[in-house]
Amino acid sequence: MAESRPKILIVEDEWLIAQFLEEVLEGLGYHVLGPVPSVREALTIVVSEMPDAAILDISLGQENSLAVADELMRKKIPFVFSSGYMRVDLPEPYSDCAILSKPISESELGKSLRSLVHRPEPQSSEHLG
Amino acid sequence: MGEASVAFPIVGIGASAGGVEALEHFFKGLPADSGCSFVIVTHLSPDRPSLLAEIVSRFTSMPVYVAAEGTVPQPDQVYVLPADAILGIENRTLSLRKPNSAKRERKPVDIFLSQLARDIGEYAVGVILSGGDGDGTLGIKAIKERGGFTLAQTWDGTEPQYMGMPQSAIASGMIDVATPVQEMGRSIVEFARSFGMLERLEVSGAEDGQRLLRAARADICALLRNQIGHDFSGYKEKSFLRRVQRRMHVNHIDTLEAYAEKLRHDPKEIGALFRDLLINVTNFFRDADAFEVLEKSVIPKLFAGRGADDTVRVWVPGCATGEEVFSIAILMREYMDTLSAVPRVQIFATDIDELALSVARAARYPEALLDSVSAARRKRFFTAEDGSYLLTKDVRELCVFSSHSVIRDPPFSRLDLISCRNLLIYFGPEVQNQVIMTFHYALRPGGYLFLGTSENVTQFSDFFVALDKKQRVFRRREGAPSHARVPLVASGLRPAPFAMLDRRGRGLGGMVLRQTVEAQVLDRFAPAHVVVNRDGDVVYYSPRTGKYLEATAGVPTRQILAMARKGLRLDLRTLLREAIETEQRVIRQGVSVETEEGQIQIVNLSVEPLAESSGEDRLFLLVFADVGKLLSREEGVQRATAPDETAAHLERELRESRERLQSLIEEYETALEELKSSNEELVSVNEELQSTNEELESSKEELQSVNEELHTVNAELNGKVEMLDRSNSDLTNLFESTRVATVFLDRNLVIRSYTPAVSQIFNILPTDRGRPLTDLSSRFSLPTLADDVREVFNSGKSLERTVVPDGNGTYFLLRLAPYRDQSAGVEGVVLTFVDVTSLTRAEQHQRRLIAELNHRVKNMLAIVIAIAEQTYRTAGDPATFKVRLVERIRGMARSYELLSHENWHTARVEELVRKHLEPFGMERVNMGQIDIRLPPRQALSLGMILHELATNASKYGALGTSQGRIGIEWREEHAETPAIAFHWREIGGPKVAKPAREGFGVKLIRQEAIYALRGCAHIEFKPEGLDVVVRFPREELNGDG
Repeated sequence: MAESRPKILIVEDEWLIAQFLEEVLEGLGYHVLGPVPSVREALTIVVSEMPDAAILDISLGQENSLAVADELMRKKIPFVFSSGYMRVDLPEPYSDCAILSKPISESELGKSLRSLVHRPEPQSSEHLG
Repeated sequence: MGEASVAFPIVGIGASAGGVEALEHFFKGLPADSGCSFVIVTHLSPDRPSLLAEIVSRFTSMPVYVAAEGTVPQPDQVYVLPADAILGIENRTLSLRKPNSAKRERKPVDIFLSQLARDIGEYAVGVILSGGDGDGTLGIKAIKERGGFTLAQTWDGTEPQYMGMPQSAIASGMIDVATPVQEMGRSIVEFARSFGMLERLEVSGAEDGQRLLRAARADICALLRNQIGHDFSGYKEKSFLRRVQRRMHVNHIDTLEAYAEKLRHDPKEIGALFRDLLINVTNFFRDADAFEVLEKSVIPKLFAGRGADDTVRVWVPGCATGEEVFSIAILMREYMDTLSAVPRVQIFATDIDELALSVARAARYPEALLDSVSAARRKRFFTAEDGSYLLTKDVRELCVFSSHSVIRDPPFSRLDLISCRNLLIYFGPEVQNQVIMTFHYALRPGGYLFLGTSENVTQFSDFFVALDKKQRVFRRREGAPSHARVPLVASGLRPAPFAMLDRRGRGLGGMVLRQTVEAQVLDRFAPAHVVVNRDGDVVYYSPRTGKYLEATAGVPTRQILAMARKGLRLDLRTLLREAIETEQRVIRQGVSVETEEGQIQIVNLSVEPLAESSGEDRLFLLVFADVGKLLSREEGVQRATAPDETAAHLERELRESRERLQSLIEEYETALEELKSSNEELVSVNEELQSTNEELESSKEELQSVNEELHTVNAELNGKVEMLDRSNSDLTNLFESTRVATVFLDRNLVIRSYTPAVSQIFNILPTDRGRPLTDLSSRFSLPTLADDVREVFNSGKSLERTVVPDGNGTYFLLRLAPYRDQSAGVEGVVLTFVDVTSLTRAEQHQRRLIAELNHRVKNMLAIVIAIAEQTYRTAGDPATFKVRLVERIRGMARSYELLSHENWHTARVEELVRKHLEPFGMERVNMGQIDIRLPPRQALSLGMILHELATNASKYGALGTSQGRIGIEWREEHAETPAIAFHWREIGGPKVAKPAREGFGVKLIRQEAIYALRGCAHIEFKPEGLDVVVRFPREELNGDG
């Protein structure tokens, strides 16, 4: 894959959902980093790959992704939460962050990512089986 | 009235100052089932409501009511006089009357008790408790008179109380039982029971009982007749027995026989019973017949021949509460109204009981005591004032009340009438004699003595003549000797017939006296002699005194001076006086005595005190010693008038002396005149003083009643203060024990009080009361406090604020509530800090749970969507898609079911396996037994893996053939981190080869192991069957999914 495509980090601990997100993003022409289910792995990728944007599931099993969000904010990397939680449930510093409420539709996801990074070159929207 | 079964005693209780305490003990000593009804009458201020009912109800379990108009007292209930009312009773029904607001009601107890007596007679019980004046005494009299039962409080403790009321009642002699207040309950209960006894004897015993009663009565009557000499057999049987019974009750004796036995041995008890039977309470015009005699036969004579300058003097000794005095005064006044020249009338009313006197001086009587006063007299001589009647001034001013003992004190003198009714019965025979002699002395000749119907002076017929035998009116005999006009000494007993002296052992016995006299006379001379006492009464004659003494005309007398013959009298008087004064022997020589035959005898007289006599009883020996022979008159005269130088000289001297005597007499008369006018002045001053005294008395009464009221109020207030103290202590304890921080602020945010818990919030010290709250530093900021307080003041409504303190994670709910005073105006603010930490935590927890639920549901929906997507992609045709999708969702549902069964805490691996494999038959499954529990997330994940494995096995593997078996094992592994190994091994199924392309199922297993279980799955397609090992770290089971 060409590196010109925006790199999107997916942090999601449900494999099925991660799979779904990955497929949608690939379909939209983004380069997917991950998906990863844990903070440790996510931070590794943030440092090593410098994603252009990120989609963070807030609750990751017994941990949560707020530490990742902190790191992203520090690096000024835009991100969007994807969560079953409502905005009001978010702790204070994150209450302004974008949040996509699960279950996420493809169109919502696309719209949200477009606001985060510039739109990638249109790709073939062929669905992979 | 009251003979029916409804009859029960009604106890009227009078109390005033100090009464609350007395009532407390009274009711504490009283059982609640005495069968009596209780009515409390106190001196209350008309200006304020009384708390008495409330206070009394604390002392007794009987119901306590405030009496109302028309209340019918019931047994075992208590009624209290309301403020500003006067209580009466008629036909056993209470009545209330508004007092005349201008005047203070002075005798509410008297009024109630006397009406009670009139209403229910023998069933009336009067109780006089602590109080400062004499109220109740007249009421008690009325009750006693009608056969009721009377009690008065005596004090056994040491604390000062107000004994005026009970003392006055006791002093009246009308109290049956004087006892400390705690003991009264018992007496009253016995009294109430005694009604039953008499009735039982009368009714149930029928013939037998009647006979017994009659016999006992005859027995007692006989005893009385023998001991006292009064026959009561004519008395009404019932009232006789009632009084006997009351004495029995007072003596705690149960049977008539036992009482008769006591009478036989106790003369005192006979006296008490006698007086009880005679209780003929001195009342206005009591014994109307007697007073009629007084009015018709005596009073006109008192005034006969008297002019305006004369005085009619009356003495009423033992006047008690004054009814008798005023009855006489009324009669006198009535007669005086008919006269043109009205003499002065003085009625001296005396008693030893000061308290009774003050009742008499007040001259105020309850209506019930005026039954025997005719309407006309009531109108003429009384002023009605709120249920009591006040004698008019023109009657009162006739009477002078003073404390005086008829036995001890010097008597009055020159009296025209002595009225002494029912006093003598209280005295023994000796004292009776003495008192009658005193009366004899005090009356002027022809004066009248008026006695009670059971008293007599017949044994003194020398001194008194009966004017009306039946009504006991006597007249002092005109000529009766009255030598001792003035008692020589003011103290001690009046000189009485000398026979009495012997008995007292102060003089000399008859024989001894005789011997002494004879011995002394023989020692000196043996001439004629007599022995006289200090008054000149001869107590002993020698023989042959006829030469010197002779009987005088008129009533026989023993007075030596009256009996002395002509010529002796003057010298005798001088000698006697000298001897009495000097107590020395005095001699006069050459006194000539004229005998009956006209001869003259010259005698030497000598008077000397008799040895062995002394003081008041000193006797004097008077000796007549003849000098020479009897002389003829001529000789005597010759001898007496012998012309002589000396005689002339003496005559001149005599003349001069006479002149001096004359001038002395003139001076004496002038002095007498002056004395008279002084006396008149004194009398008028006395009158003024008397009226001032009356005014003072009435002021004193006013003050006393105010004082009483104040005491009552004070006692009530004390009770209230006690209650307040208790409430206050409750509040203090509440404050101390409550963990709720509360601050009371006034309008200016100044602290009024606070609970100790406040110190957790503010740095507050006890000295901070009175400082504004805003001065104190608090552990958290309350910037809006002042505004909030203002809002509470303005709106009068409560406010609530949640306060998050700095740091330590405690939450407070601050409630600002208006502090209302009694008029419901907002006076301040009550700040309450409620620690709501746990509540807040619970709320937060709940919010978290809801969020978690949202999260889970949404996550699951996302997963379902993803599963649908994947299933769709691998299914091919819609039918397969539908079957697979539904299977997968069901598989998830099974795991959820299991978890929800366990409240989302944990799920056992064994259960999980069973749940997912049961649809395919467990008979071909070999399961491990190790008990391992998984948290929900891992359980769901493993459930999905199990579902995929089982589905796969049924389609392509061991479950697809009849020989296929599946072994499922799991165990814990203890490497660096605790882990769980789950092993799925199929055998006996169709031959297995690794598929060319990894299907969705395999992918799901692998990825679930990584993502959800944070472990890994090792999948091996062995020829004998699929072999899968899933390893994943053991998560802490914290129960919080």
